[in-house]
Amino acid sequence: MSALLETGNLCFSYPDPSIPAGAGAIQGLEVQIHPGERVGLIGPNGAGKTTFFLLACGILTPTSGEIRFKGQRLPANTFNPQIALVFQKSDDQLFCPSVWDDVAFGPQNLGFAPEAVNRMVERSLRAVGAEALAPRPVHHLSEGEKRIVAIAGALAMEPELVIYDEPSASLDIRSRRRLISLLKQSRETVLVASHDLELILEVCNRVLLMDAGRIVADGPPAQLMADEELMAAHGQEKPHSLVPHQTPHH
Amino acid sequence: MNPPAAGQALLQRWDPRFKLLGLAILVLAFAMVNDPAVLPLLLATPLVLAWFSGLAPGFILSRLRYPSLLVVLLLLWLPLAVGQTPWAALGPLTVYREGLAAALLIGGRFLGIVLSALIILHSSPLTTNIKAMRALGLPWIMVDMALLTLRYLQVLGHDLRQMRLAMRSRGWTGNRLGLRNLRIIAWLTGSLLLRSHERADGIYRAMRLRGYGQPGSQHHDFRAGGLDYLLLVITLAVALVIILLSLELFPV
Amino acid sequence: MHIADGILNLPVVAGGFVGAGAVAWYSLDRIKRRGDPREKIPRAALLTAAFFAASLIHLPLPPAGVHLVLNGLLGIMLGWFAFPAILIGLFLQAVMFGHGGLTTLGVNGLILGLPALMAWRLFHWQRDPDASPWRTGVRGMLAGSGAMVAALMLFLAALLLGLPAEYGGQASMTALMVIIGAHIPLIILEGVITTFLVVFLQRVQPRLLEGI
Repeated sequence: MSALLETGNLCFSYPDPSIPAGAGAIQGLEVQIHPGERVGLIGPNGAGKTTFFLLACGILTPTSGEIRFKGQRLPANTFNPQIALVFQKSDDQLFCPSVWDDVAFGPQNLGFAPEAVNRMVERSLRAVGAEALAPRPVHHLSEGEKRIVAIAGALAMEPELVIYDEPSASLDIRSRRRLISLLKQSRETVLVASHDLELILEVCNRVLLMDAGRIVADGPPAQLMADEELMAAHGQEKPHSLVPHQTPHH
Repeated sequence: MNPPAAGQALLQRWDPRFKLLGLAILVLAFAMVNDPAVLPLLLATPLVLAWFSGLAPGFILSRLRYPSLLVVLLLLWLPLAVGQTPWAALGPLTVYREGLAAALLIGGRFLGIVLSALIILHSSPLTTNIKAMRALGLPWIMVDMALLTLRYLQVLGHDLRQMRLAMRSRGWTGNRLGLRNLRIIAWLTGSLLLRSHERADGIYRAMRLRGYGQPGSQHHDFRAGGLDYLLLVITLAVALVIILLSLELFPV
Repeated sequence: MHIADGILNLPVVAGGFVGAGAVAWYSLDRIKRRGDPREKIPRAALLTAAFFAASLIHLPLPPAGVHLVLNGLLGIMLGWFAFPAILIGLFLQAVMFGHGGLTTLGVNGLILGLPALMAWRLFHWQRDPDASPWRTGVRGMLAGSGAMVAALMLFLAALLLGLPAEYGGQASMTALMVIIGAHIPLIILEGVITTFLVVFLQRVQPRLLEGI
C-alpha cells in the first residue's frame, strides 16, 4: 500500500536564538502514514510534534530531507489544501465574527464560487453536528464549541489528511467525549498529537512515540503504550486503563 | 587595553536615574548643534560611551537600523536643492555648499543621538530604565502601563504570529490588496484586540490578589554615590561645551 | 508618520516635549477624576501592546508596502488613556526597534496622539450605541481617515516649523506636495480598515467601543 504522507530523513531546526537549542527541532524523521489510518503521536513537550505538523502543512521549510504526499514531493513553503491542521488553541485559529465566516475562510481562499462555499460550509458543519452554531459570534462560544468549529473550519477544505494538535486540551468531559466520537467517525486519514493517552488508545489504530525530533517507537496503541519501560524512558506513563487492576473498578 | 567586561562596565554601574538624566541633557545639546564643525565632537561622544558601555560593537551596530525614510530623503535632496554656492558638479546636478552642510548636520545629529541613546538605554534592562523614570517623576499610571505593555508585547506578538500561521494553513496569503483581504486583516486585528482585552481582566484579578495597588508598594532602591555624581558632572560638561560651541560664542 | 532624531531644531523639539507633557498630564488628571484607574491600567496596557503588535502587520501596498497606524481606533477604544498609550508605544518602538526618535518623542506623540483624541470625540459625538453596524462603520471611516488627515497636517506643520527657514522656496513646496500625495493611499486604507474593525467590534463585543 502506498503511503499518503511520507518523510525521508527530515530535518529542521529553528534559527531563532531565543528558542533553546534542540527544542522543537526535527532530526532525521522517518515516518509513513497510510490512507485511512488513525495515527496517534505521543511524546514529551519539545519533542518536535508541532514542528513536524507545520512542516507537513508547508508552513515551515525543512532544513534538509523531504516530505512526500501521495508519492509527490511537497514543494517547500507551499500551501496544500489536502492537508488540514487543527491548532492547539482554538483562539489562534478562529478570528472571524461569525462561525459561518470562519468555516468559509478556507474554501474562499481556495477560490470556490459562493454556492460551492455555501455547500462546503454546510456539509462540514453538519459533519461535526454544529449547524445551529452557524450565525453565532465565534468569540462567545464555549471552549468545546470553539474546538468543534475549528475542526469544521479544517474539514471545510475537504482534506485527505487532518492533523490534530492536542485536540482535547482544556476541554471538559462532555466536550472531550464529543470530540472522541467525532474522531472515531472521521472518514479522512487522521494524525493526532496528544498527551491524552486514553484518547489515543480509544481513537487510533497505530501510535508513534516521538522524542528529540525522531520517531523512537511505532506500533499498535495497546501494545506500545503498555511497554512501561519504553514509555518511562521517554517521559511518558502507561495509560491507567492498561495497568492490571488489583481491585477491579471497570 | 580591552573594553571592560559586561556587568562591570562604567555605564552598567552608573545609577540608571543619573544615566537617563545625562542622556536627556546630552541629546538635547546634540539637537542644538547648527555648525558642521561641531560634528566630530558630537560623534566622538557615542564612541566614548560605547567604550565604557560593556556592549559588543557588533551588538550596537546590529541595533542601528536603517535611518528613517525622511532622513534619507532629506540627505539626498538638500545638497541638490538648497543653497546658492555651487560646491561640485555631478553631471547635470549641482551640489550646493549650504545644502551639503545642512545634510551633514541632519545626518550627524541623527547618528549622534541614536547611537548615544542606544548605548545608554541598552546598558541597563528596559524594566530598570522604566523604574528609574518612575523615580525621576514619571507618573505611576504611565509607569505601570509601560511595564505591563512591555511584559505582554511578546505574548501578544506570539498570539498574532500563531493566528497568521493558522490563516496560512487554510490557504490565506494576503499578498493582494483587495477589500476582502482588508476585511480579513481587520478581523484578525479585532480578534487580537478582543483577546487582549479578555486577558487583561484576568491579569488584573491576579495582580489584585498579589497586593497590586496597596499603599507603600512603590518604593525604589536606587542609591547614588560619588561616582554617579561625578559621571553626571562630566556629561553635563560635555553637553555644555557642545551648547557653547553651537551658540558660536567661540567661533571654530 | 514619524520624525526621526536630528531633523528638527531645538525650539520645536522642546515645544514638542512641553506640549506632549501638558496633554499627558491633562489626560492623567481626567483619568484619575473618573475613579480608581487601577482596574483600567491592565486593559489600557494590553490594548496598547495589541495595537503595537498590529502595527507590525505589513500591508501589500505598492511600491514598498505599509504598516497600519490605527491611531483613530486607538483613540476610540482607549479614550483618555490614548495619549499616554501612544507615548509609551513610541518610546518602546524607539528603544526596541530604533524606529521614530527619542528627541522627537514629544513631537511624534502630539502628531499621533492629538488626532487619536479627536477621533475618539468624533466617533462618539451624538452616537446611538444601538445604531446599525453600517452607521457605526461610517463613524469608523470618519474617525480612521480623519485621524490620519489630522496626523498628516501636524506632521507637515512640525516639519515646516522645525526645519530651518532657508530650506524653503519652491522646491520644498514640491516636496510637501509629494509627501501629501504619498500619504493619500494610507489615509484611505486606515479609513477602510477602521470601518471594518468597528463593524466587527460592534457585532462581536460592542462594549469595547465604549472605552475602557
